Amino acid sequence: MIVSDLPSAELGTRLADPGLHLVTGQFQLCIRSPIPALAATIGLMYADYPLGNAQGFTDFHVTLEHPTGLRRWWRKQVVFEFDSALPFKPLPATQAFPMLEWGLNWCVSSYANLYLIIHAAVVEKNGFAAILPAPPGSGKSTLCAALVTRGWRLLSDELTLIRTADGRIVPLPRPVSLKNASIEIMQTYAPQAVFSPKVFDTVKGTIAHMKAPADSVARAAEDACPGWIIFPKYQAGAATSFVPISPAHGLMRLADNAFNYSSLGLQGFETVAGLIDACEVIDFTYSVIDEAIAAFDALAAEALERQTGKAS
Amino acid sequence: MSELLILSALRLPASMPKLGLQQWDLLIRQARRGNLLARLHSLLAQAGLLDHVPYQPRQHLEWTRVTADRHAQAVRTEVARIQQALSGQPVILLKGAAYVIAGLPPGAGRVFSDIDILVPKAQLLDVESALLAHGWMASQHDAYDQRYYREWMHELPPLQHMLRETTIDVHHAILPQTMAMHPDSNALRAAAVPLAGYQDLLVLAPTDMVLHSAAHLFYESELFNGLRDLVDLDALLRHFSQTPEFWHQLTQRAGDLGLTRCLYYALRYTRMLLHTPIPPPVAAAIEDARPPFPISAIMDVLYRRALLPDHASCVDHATFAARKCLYVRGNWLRMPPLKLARHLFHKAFISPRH
Amino acid sequence: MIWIACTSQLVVQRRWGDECILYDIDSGNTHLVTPLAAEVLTRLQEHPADMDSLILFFAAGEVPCALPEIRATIATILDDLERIDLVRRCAA
Repeated sequence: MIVSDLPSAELGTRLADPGLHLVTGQFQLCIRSPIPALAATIGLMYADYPLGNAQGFTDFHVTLEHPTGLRRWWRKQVVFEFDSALPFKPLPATQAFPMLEWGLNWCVSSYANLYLIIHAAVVEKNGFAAILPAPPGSGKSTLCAALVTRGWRLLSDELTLIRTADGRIVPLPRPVSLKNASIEIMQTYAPQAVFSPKVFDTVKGTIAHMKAPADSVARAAEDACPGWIIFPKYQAGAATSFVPISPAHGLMRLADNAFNYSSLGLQGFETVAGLIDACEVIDFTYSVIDEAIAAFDALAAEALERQTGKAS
Repeated sequence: MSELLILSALRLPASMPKLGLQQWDLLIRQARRGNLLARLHSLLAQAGLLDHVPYQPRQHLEWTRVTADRHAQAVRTEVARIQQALSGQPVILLKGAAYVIAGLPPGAGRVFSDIDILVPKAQLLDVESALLAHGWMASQHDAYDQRYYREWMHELPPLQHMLRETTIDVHHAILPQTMAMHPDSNALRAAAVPLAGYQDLLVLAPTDMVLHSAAHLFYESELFNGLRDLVDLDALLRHFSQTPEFWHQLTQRAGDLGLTRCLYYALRYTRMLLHTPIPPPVAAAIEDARPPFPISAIMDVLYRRALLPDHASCVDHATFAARKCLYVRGNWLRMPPLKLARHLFHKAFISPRH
Repeated sequence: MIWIACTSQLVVQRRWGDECILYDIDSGNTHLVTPLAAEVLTRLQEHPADMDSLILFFAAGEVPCALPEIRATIATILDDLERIDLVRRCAA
């Protein structure tokens, strides 16, 4: 059963108490919230996700609710609770859905230490995954959102999980986060995609989320082989270009983008080194999305040819 | 309150493989909140029971083991750096760092925030200078906080290394100077045990290590890691009591250091919550140090609650009040009344932390 | 004065072309260095050495007029390795 199989009234009731159990990638979640607007957005963004087993083991129990006291009524706020602790300050109640997404990312990146967790989007085509680490403002999310509306599988838009045991990429497809101008860009570029309502005045500006493609969610159990590490940079007016990065420099930049590189110690280093050995490491500049997609498609086609050439 | 899963698990690790998935779900959450997940992993590993843990909860235990391993490595590195900085100065490691370097049971599955060392009061400033010369720096404390630590407490203000961002707490005594109890630091240092394979590095004698752990737990004002600290005590008692003379030495030493009341609490609550095996004659003898009624009954009510993890499944209507009472008591013990008012006033109104 | 490696065996080296990565297992620090710097570290891990014996080792087979440059290069490398906590100097 998936979330959209639940009538919306039941979804709201379940969310309020005892919580909605659902499955995202490797993780069983229980989300509890009495906030009706949040229930509506969850129903929209997580429609395709399998329901979890309330009698089983849940990896992360999270609750989003209004705080007690004055802020329950006046300039309403929302708090994120995980295991009876409040890791974040309260936010305006209108930011409940972004807070849920940030909170879930925090849970995974804080605890799941059998994965090297890179702050990067990751997409896959023809059996090879492109990891896109990038600081804010690089256009990574727009590029990731565009790629997954043009045939690339979404593995994750924010947290790339590399299983330290074998170096494979483990998917965690969740709603793709978009900011400011990129929201309208994507709404124009992919009018068939489903978007959450915009949320204004967050610390990152205006935020909206794009629903992950149903196919990506359905294939969340399929892990992937890393093919490229691509550092994207949007630059207005620039020609589309790939510039190779030396492996050693690539390693330093990749490690710098990994949340738990330090915590993993030697295994973290070896996982990063393994990725560098397995991948081409590239700086990518673009200004036109269609050209960027074409460049990525060409990479995927080349990789497929090489693989088919090897097989025959 | 019916028996909590976290307590059952700690009392009898072999009971864990029999748990259903929903019970594992709750146990993992209680343990995480109590900073005891890595400890559970280590108990299961020692008992050879990890393979009997279902896949999903096992993932959570393995995640935390990775962190604990890294912390243990970081402690070893940091202790080596401290030795280099203080070369020639004998240093006594305290608490977690001592457990890890000495290979004691509470060292397994531990997550650290800082390293505690004990040095003679007369050498405090030299030690501080040496650490400052090797890259540590004073934390951002105002003049009041500096005085709080130096004059009234038993330690320098925490020093943080400017590159590694690790923190070291340099103590000259195991309890604040403002307290009524003054365990003799000279006696503690005289009995300290050198660590084999290390130059100028020591740990407290077994009895002193137990008493320090107890003093830290029962006279500290905050109990976020209360159950974790009680688990440390339980592990130390079980380990050291393998030596037959230990119990006699422990009660004797508690008397010598003026810490019998503290030992009473330690033995009472380890036995009550963790079923620590305490020989009946020892348990009977320590009753002499029990506080008079109704204080003893009140302490039971408070500690039974406050020592549990701060998770919704482990609290009842009285827990918040219990923690608050013990917070005030802890401050009361550490500071005489006038200083207490000034300190709490200062903490609350003059130096907001956030 | 002699130079000593701070951690005897616990540094992993990986090399790609003209670039080398050192991973210090003790501290978790990761460094991008030249292959020569990595070799200086390896040499000091094998046994402590003073500047003269290092130069003798690395300048073997070089023409005498190259010595000042080699000395300057090794001095810079030692300063850099000291700054990142991989080597330290010690009175002989």
